[in-house]
Amino acid sequence: MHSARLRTGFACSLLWLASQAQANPAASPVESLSMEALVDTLSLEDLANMVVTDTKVAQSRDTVTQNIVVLPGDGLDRQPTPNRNIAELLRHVSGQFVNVLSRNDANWGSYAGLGPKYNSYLLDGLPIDSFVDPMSLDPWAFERIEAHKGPASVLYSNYLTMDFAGNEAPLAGTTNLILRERVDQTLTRLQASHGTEDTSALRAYHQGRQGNLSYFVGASGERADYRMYGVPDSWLQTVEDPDYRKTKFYAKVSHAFGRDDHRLSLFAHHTRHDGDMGRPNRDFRHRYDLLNLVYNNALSAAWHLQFKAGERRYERQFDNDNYPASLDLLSVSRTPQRIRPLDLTLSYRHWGDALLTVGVDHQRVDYRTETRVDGVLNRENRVEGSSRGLYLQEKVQLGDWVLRAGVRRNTLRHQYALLGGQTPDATRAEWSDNLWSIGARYNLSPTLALYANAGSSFMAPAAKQIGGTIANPLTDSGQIANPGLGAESGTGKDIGVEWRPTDTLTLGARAFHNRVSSAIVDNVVNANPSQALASNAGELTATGIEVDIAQDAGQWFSWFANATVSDTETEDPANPDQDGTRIPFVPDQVANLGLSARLPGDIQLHAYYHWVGRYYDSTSRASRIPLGNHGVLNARLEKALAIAAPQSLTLFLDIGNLTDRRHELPFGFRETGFTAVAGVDVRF
Amino acid sequence: MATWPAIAPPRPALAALLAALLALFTSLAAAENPLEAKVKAAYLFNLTKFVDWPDLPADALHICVIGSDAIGGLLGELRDRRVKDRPLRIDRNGGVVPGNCQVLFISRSEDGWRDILQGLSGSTVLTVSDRDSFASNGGMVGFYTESGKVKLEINPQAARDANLHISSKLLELARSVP
Repeated sequence: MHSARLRTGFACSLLWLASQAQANPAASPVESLSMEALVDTLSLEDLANMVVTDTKVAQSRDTVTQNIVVLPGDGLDRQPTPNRNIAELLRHVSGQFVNVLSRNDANWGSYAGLGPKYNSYLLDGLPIDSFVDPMSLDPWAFERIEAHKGPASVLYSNYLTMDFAGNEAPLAGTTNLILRERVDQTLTRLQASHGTEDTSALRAYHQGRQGNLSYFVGASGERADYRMYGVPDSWLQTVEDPDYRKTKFYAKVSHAFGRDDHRLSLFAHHTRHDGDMGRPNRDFRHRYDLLNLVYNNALSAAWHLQFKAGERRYERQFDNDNYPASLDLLSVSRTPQRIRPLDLTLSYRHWGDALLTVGVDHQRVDYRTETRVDGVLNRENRVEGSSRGLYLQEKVQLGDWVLRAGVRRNTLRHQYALLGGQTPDATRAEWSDNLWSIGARYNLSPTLALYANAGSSFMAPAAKQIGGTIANPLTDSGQIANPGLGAESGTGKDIGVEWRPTDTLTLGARAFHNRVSSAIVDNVVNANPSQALASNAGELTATGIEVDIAQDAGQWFSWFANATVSDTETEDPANPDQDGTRIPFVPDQVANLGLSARLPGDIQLHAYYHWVGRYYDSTSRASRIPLGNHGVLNARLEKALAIAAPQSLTLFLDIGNLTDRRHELPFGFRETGFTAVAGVDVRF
Repeated sequence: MATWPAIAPPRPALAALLAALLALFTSLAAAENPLEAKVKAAYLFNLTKFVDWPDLPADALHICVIGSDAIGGLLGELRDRRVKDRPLRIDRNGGVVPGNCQVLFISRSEDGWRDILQGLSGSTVLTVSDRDSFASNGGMVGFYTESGKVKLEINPQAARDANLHISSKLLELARSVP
């Protein structure tokens, strides 16, 4: 049965190597640039690809043992994002399943057969929230996005978030968002758009340089009379159109101390997200703030020092009613969380191209949940956590071989002041574990390479999973408490091939096998109100294969395709209800097909089809809901009206869900159907 | 008895057309794509920002081009630029004195590239070429094409031997070759 599924997946494989998303049929404007404009417009980074790897130091791709997909910043606009979520840009990367639940909610998906907490997100190598920040940050600030696949990423720390899925470990991979840094040319960019659901948006961006100081600033505002994004009669049922307003401000300054590889940079981002969920007392007010400080210094040709520090402040606030019994205001819930990550990394290049990386990282989190009922404040959870990591990795190159081995010591501590409104009996918990990671790459030729990686992870339960988030189980949506929850540990392996048979054609395949012991599984146990319960579910195994093909046939046409087939299983003999079931939120098949083409009239078309096979929202046979088996077609049309580089004026039309599918999503959400947004983009 | 259908002999006009098309494609493949030349010229200019020379002349920084009129011509458009607080000079073909260059681009069409490299032994000239395996054979920076893009490979040892300091930023972007 399992192998048949794999064969079926192979047979219907539509492949893509997403690094080819950069295949740019719209590159022709470069031809019209003067040399003066060209050298001002394109930095070295634009002229080539650079990846930040598991060693935390940028290296060329053929010396990296893991598979890394690079989405260049200038190509991100080509993908429509109907829910305005950065995670949607990753949905066409093989091995990833990204479900953005609505414009007001987080992405919820799976990576290499495991749930959402086994892929972390980074901003310039420093952890950020996988759920909040993708719907908060503005992709115009990015130079590129890197999707690092497989267990080589375990050198990076866990993320100590207590909200959403709880702690995150990069066993299945990590997604690194890389900010723009050195500015070579002054540029101002403005965009205005309007579309279905009365969605209006304005975006502005400016970058420049004063001597050794590069900077950019940006702002955006968006409002919409949204439509119901829940299953009828679910906890998301509306009585009027929901609306929302999202405002963002961000800025970065980067100072080079005489040379380009000695820099100090500071990035700040603020998002205000207000609106209602379509009922008179279901308003929300969210505030997300982020700071990233990065110091980079190539001390010599051999030594490279990096210091990174950040602060993330997330505050989510909801008004709650008692639907369906009453639409009156019942309570106001507030979830503030503050996370401060630090990272110090020293790299030493020796024996020619060998690279030794040592470092320490630290995180501190302060997490609270509270509810105000009739003016009375009820504090439910108050937890402080910290993590400490010490890591060391060596990578050597021996001819055509690249060999990598690393170890990491992880320690997590929790202090519980309040859990579920009560002072718990045990106010402290601590977990420690030693992790390892190895990898190898063999460059058979400049166009053909094999690679393999293995690594381990561990994850402590989040306070939210232990203490719950709901005061009244009969009426409140949220997490049900499970004080007996234990930590889980995992191992992952992958093996793959990258092949470039011609200059324009790229093929790839990667097989993965992940195993998690004492796995913590979030199961939906109640639909109305929406409630989830975390439990240790025995052992999870996820085996699968992903295949990619991409072809850049010049400026007129390029295309990609990929498919991922996963076979997952929960092993829990003590609980027949979930023994042998699939891992929640992991589709058995995911496939993507995309193309870019220049149409008559010099119109550029970018189209993406995304197919998702069957998946479930729980390991419980009795209560799980079958989801998936649907496809969505998105497209973007662009027409450049005037190009006199660096000035340009472009009209665009983003079409989401062209065939108007309204399938069900996890947690009672639903695809909202067809969307269209038209706009104008000006650069000068 | 069944017989195989006969294969018609090629018509002379069709054969001539195919031969002409083949010749056309062959000549196009050998010629330098204008966009490719432009990107290489931009690389040559940008490289100067990421290399430190021990003994830069006070009057100008010289980028020299041997063998590619297209790249030389494109770089000529930048002759009024300043690089490292010096005016940029573009020397082409007959006007090139290799030892006086800071960056020397040798086109893949130049068969005498080994002699040029030998003549530069002990000098502080950054040598660049789009010739296959140039950086593996004594050169410092080579252009190669991957997935339709022009990329860099660098021989760090050759640069060190010439007393040139290549920024780690540039090394990170490039493929290192022994």
